[in-house]
Amino acid sequence: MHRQFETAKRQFQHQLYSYAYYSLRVAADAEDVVQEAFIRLWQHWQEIDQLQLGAWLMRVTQNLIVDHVRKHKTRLATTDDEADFEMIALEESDAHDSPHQRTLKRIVEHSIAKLGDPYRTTLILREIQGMSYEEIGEVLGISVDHVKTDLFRGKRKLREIVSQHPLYHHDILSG
Amino acid sequence: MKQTSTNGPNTCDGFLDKLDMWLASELDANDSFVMQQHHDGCVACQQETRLARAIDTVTLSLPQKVCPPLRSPVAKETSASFVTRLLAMWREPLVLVPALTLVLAALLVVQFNVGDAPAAQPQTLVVNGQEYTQEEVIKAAADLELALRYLSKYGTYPARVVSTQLDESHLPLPPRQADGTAPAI
Repeated sequence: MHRQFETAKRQFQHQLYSYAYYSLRVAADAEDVVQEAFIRLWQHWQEIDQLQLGAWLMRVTQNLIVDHVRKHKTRLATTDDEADFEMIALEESDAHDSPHQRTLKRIVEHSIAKLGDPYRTTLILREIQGMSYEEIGEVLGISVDHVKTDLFRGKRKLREIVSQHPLYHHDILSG
Repeated sequence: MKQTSTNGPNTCDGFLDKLDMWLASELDANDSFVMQQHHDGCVACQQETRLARAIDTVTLSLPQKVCPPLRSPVAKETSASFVTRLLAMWREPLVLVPALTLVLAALLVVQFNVGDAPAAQPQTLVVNGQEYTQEEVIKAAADLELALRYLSKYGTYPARVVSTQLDESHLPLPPRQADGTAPAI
């Protein structure tokens, strides 16, 4: 069991962390969420259908993220303000981007975290995690049509948040 | 030059409603044609389309984040061995007391068995207000002995705890065997 658990951990930890990170935008909080998800996996190992392991973990992580956001609303708002000042910070993956692209990337990351659920979750699972509509539907327990509706509404809302961001201007798109 | 009517993809609102479906090729041919027509004639919607495409490009390029090594709680939770957890369980009064009660009951049954005709043996035994059949007591005692035998592989602590608790219980225990062990069940 221990070996199977470790295999599951290796298989899913980065995916879960990524999901938590883009939802919360605080690395330590994302780490806490993933850690808690794996503790729950360990505790419920015997009850879980091994074929549904990924979906189960994503659902647990989603619930933990929602709980976390609810509990730390004030702190997240502060973090958002701080993040505004750190937006131009470079990551390795940004090295080849133009300044406009880098800024847009930061604005988008920031805006994704500001999207409400279920739009944020659907968008992250589809666009960043690269999951199919069917997989997302399975994780969230909704139909494929519902997934598409949430995704397209989420994208429209994301555009609104991006275009209202103080650092956004039309010239960014020319970069 | 933003159009203001609110219905269908031939208006700005309708166009924006369906823009992401259009970009994802989720519209039928007719709606796609109307979207294209509106797009070609509306500067504001062209700008919105550029933004939508740019955001799509960015979100698709966002990297999967690498999870740092998980801290101790998972490691602690997962590496706590079966024996460690079993030992911890044995220190719980809610486990220990009923177990000791069953041991005592089993020992009493053994005592009743010595020298008496089977017809004189009680059919049930009441311990702490709970009635047990002889069969239940013997089975419980056998289970307990098996558990103790298993635990003894990992040290003498559990056996010592049981022994101490029995000594402190002042219950009328049957005499021990010559080597100090409890009578066989």
